[in-house]
Amino acid sequence: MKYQISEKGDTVTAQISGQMTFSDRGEVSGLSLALMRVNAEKIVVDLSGVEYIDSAGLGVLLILREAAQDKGKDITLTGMTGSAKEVLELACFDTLFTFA
Amino acid sequence: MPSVRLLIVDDEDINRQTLRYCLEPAGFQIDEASDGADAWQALCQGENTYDAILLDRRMPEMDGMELLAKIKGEAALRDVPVIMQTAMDREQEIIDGIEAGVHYYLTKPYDADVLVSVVRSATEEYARHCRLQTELAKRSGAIQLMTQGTFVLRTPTEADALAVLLASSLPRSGAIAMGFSELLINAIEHGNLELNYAEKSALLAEGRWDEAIEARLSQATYRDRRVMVEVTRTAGRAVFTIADEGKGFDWQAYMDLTMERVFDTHGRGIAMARRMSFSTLSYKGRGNVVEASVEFEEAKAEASVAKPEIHLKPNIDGDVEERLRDVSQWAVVSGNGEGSDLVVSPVSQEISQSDENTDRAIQLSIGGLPAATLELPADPDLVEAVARCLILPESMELGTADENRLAPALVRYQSQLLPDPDALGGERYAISAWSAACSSVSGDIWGGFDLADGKLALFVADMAGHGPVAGLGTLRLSAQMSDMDLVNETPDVILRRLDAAFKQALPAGQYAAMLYGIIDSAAGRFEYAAAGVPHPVVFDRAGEYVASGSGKGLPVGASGNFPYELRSLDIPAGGALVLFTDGLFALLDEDHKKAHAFDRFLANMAGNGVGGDACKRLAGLISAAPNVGEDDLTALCVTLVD
Repeated sequence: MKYQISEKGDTVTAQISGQMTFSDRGEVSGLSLALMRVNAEKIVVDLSGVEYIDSAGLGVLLILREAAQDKGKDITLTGMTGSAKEVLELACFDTLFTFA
Repeated sequence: MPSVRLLIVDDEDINRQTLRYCLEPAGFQIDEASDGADAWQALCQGENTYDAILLDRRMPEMDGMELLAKIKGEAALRDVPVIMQTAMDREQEIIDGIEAGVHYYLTKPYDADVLVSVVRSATEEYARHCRLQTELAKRSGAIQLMTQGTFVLRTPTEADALAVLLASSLPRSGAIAMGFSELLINAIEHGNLELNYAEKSALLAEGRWDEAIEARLSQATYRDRRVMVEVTRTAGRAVFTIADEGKGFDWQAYMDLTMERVFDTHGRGIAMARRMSFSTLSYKGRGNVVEASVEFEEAKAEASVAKPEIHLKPNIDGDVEERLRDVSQWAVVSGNGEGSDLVVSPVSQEISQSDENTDRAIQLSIGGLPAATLELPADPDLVEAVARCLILPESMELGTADENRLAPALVRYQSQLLPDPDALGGERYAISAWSAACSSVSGDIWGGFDLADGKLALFVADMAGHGPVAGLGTLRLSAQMSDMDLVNETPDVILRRLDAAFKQALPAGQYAAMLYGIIDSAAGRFEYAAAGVPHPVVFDRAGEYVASGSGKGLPVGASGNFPYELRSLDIPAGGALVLFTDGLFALLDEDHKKAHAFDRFLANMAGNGVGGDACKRLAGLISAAPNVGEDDLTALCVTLVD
């Protein structure tokens, strides 16, 4: 998994690419800190470059959500395709995150 | 605004008066010392803290250089800027001063405007330093877990926030934060915003520098420009590449603090960063990319992490106590156990539910949470493994020595929790089960028990992740379920209760994808609730596909209040129900990470060449896979016996 953070207006976007799997669990703290540090009110996690998400990858998203909740922010997930979309739908993540 | 305090050290009364005369109207508070010894006493009293020290080089008693050495040797004073007063032509003195850590110089005779602007520049830099240190103290250091990443920023405020974040992962973080701040702000001001050295000098003198930055940040030409920071961290070395979108600059001139610019109010940031913050610093190409590296010893970076605490209640098993006391990575504390990360206590015979281990059972209460108590046999390996997974999970990462040593105890205990398929389901059900771990310990578990009226309860669960920590999750799930009334509740209610309990008990990011259901062979019906697992599937007697249900649902523990629904599937006489975790998809083909894995599973069951009933086909599918895949696997096939 790789990510790139950018900020525009009141939105900070994390563009994630590659696979979000167990081997990426070490990245979550950095990603979370980078997203929460900025003053942007809205957080968008762009998953259009994500080919695959496993259970630990879903855990990464849950950790981000918890950190965002602590700051009173919402996370929107965008750009899901292929198996990542299937996994997120199977796990009903639309009940926790805004899907756009 | 809090007052800015200066200490003026000069043996000449007239010099002190001149300095006071120039600086007091600018809002500085001034203390004076007439020699080095006097100054040292003022600095060490503790009640006075200074934002800058103006130091004359030549004094009786203790001279300026001697005092400087003492200041630099004292941690609490080291970073207070020292402004050396000297004559223009004393080149060697200036060079000696730079070597000793003086970055600001004043020439005699004093020009009031220059004097104020140099002092202001030094004190503002020190204020920024102090602010960065305060921010640093709040950081957890968790960013050291990042091995690679990219940050994008635009403003000086963001630059300082990122400087603190990046430095918090490194030893000597105070000096490094300052260095990052210099480089990042340089990239914004001189890179993206194209403000040059001469313009900065003029704007600083007019007190309009911040205003100019703000103005440029909102101008169309500059506002979309970003600074990108790439981080790569390997063992013992971190490399940071900072790139701006500006035209670059003649960086060679700024790598050292030289005589030409020594009396300027600014322009020393890069030289200071190079000298004090980084192991290496080099600009690339036209000067809009700079690479800075820090070398460090890993152990030093970890030293600040607080030890988790374990409270041992009296009368716990002696072997277990000895083992827990032996682990140097946590602290064993005394007292009533409140506030401990883990409380380890004996389990009394009356309340213990374990059988032959009743006299040697241990109870672990995690973080004082009622929903997080675990009862285990008093096997020292097992208790240590569980305690590590709970409060020192990094010590049980795959491949570590502790993980190698202790994982077998977890596997042994986990295997005791799995039911014997042949002993389950009586005459009415034939059960086949497959379990395989992709690492030392499986994060999957299944279970079942016979209910009244010939019904059979079954579950499959897949904890997030792999290895010992996920394996511990399976132990906790099993413990949680053994505390619940599973006999009188419907599957949807059971998942709701588990969800609520796990949300409280498990750390963020840990959860269980699972399915819980009850088969009634007489009615030919399977009632279930699901939490994000592959769909349950029904096959007929001949092994042909009949129907699939839905595994859709939020994983247990993710929200704490998800409204799981009761679903059902009809199973024909002689037919079979197949339940599995998504590890089975990894066995199908190399494309398991692509969409439609469930459809490929059905296609494989229909045509894998084995034929026969669903259990035979499933066995064929699993045995045809060369190795266990990238995920833990559990699969159950339950056939209704006529």
